[in-house]
Amino acid sequence: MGETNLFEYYQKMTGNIFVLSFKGAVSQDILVGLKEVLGNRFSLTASRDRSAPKVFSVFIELAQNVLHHSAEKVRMQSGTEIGVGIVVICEDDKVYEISTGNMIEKNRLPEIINRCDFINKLDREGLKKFYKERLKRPLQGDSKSPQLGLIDIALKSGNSIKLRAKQLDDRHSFLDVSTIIMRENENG
Amino acid sequence: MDNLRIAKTKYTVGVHFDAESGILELEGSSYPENAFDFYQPIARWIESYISETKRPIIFSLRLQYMNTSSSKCLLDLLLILERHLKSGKEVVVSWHYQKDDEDSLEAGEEYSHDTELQFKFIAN
Repeated sequence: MGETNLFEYYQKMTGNIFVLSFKGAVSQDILVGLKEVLGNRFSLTASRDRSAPKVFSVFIELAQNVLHHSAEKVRMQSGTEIGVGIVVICEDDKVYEISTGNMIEKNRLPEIINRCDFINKLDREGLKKFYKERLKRPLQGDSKSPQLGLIDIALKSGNSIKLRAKQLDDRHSFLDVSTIIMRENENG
Repeated sequence: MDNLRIAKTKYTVGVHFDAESGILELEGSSYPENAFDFYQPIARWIESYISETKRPIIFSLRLQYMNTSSSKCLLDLLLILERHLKSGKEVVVSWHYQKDDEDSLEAGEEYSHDTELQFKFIAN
């Protein structure tokens, strides 16, 4: 410790307006706290932003992906393991950008890339149809996830899901997932 | 049969299932860490309830934000209730939503298309 140069960090962040930035174990309690920070951001401005519910849901789906799927884990006192990662929400006068990053087993990458490619090629009607198919499909094997998250993110954001992967070692990559949501301010 | 009551939290719905009146109510937001684990006992309660009751059931939903896993679990609860309907019993789903919340109304309409249950949409 003692190596952190906060001024450099501050300067790096100044180019964007940050709604929030968090790095660490994304436990359910942290998630609730971050959601409240986000809620405060939306209650600060005078005009209501109709995109707020979309920002909330994309944020929660992405953050819960980190919680469940990050290859870097912290063991909580309760014995459960929580994924570590980074969650960043930025804004400018037109859009919100919601991003998460976390370590993942390299061999899981192709499946995630294929799924995003498939989802990004679908139009709105196609996404709705695919969502409904997955919603009705029984859970597969031992999985407790209906794998609706990415489809929902694409539907809510109305934009493509961007992936960026950086290989860390022969087993792990760092995966960065992001999307943008257009602001819909009432009264301009 | 015992009633099922689970207090609402910031990220799990409040559950008020009344065996005597047949009014089964869910209320709040739902984005637990593991939705499947949260909803499993709720699904079990409904299954055993419909196996012994002949009462009409009112499934009353006042839902706010739901994550995708919770949405899946809710459909599964509706499909259990659909079995009750198909065995000749009465089931009505009351979908309560805020007057200007079109997304919530749309979500309810989607569920009504996905099942044969009768939905009543109530704007608050």
